[in-house]
Amino acid sequence: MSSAELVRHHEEPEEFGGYFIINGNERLIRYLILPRRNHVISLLRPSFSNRGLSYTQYAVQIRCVRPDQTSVTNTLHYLSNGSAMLRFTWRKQEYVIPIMLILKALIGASDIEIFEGIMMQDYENTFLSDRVELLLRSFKIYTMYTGEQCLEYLGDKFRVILNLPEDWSNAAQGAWLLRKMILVHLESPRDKFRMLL
Amino acid sequence: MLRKLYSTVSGACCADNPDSPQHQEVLLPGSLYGMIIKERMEEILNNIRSNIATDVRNGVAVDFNDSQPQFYRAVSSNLPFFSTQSDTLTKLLPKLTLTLEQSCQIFLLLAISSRLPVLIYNRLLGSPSSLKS
Repeated sequence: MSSAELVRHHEEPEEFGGYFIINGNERLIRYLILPRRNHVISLLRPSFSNRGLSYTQYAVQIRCVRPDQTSVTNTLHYLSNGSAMLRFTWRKQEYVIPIMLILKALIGASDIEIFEGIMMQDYENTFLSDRVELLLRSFKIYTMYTGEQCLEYLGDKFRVILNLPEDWSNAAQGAWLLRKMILVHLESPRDKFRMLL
Repeated sequence: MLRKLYSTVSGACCADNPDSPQHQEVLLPGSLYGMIIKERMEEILNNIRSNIATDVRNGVAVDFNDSQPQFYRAVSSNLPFFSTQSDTLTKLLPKLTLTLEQSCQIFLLLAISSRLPVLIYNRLLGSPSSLKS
């Protein structure tokens, strides 16, 4: 409507509409919004440091969307010891897994593969190389060396929660977990690995 | 993602503002409805599976060719397929595992079927009692 018509209908001339008075309260109707899909955003929230010991306020988050439009949000938390934890939600329950465990389980990556992947030739950046070194060193306490070991470990820990057929091996359960929960918009473990770096 | 995380920590990359439209997208009614249906379907199939598993453990024969299979027992199969009753949807919405950043008032416009043109859902994260439609 033009301004003149609006005034004739007892509205303000610059009225743009879109809100209503319901039971005396002003109501606005708008679409529900979600974080953008398959797009990493970095977050700085002081509340993250309350999540547990050595958690910091830093995190990056991605909302991954499957082809059927359902989504899983993966959050990567930075720990004060230089490593990172990946968080996801499964059946309304939150779980956190050390990122190294996932990197190893996905493609059985060697330490040098992970180091080179994160450094991306930026060897001058000592801040980064220190963190990656800490990341790699912190994983040594788990004494897991191959991807298969990591998958079995994951499957063993998540067996109770996943509710999968009981005759599946631990490794199969671990692989299922990675496929269904970690970066679900990507199909192959190699792509997931590259995205995580 | 790790690179971005470390850049954020070192200060080389500043934190993104999740409230900026640059980092948002609209949740379309169809997608939301798809999520509801998927969750309900999963629940129903899981119920059937656990029924079959119980039968197998107790030595009861499981007959898949039966027209009224025993394993359908105690499975509520009311999928909200184009339900015209707004209360079905409003009961479902709080159960959804949607991750929403905003704790502010959220109003939802659902135009699912022509018989349910508009549903204003007040405070999705709060109690459904404050519904005004």
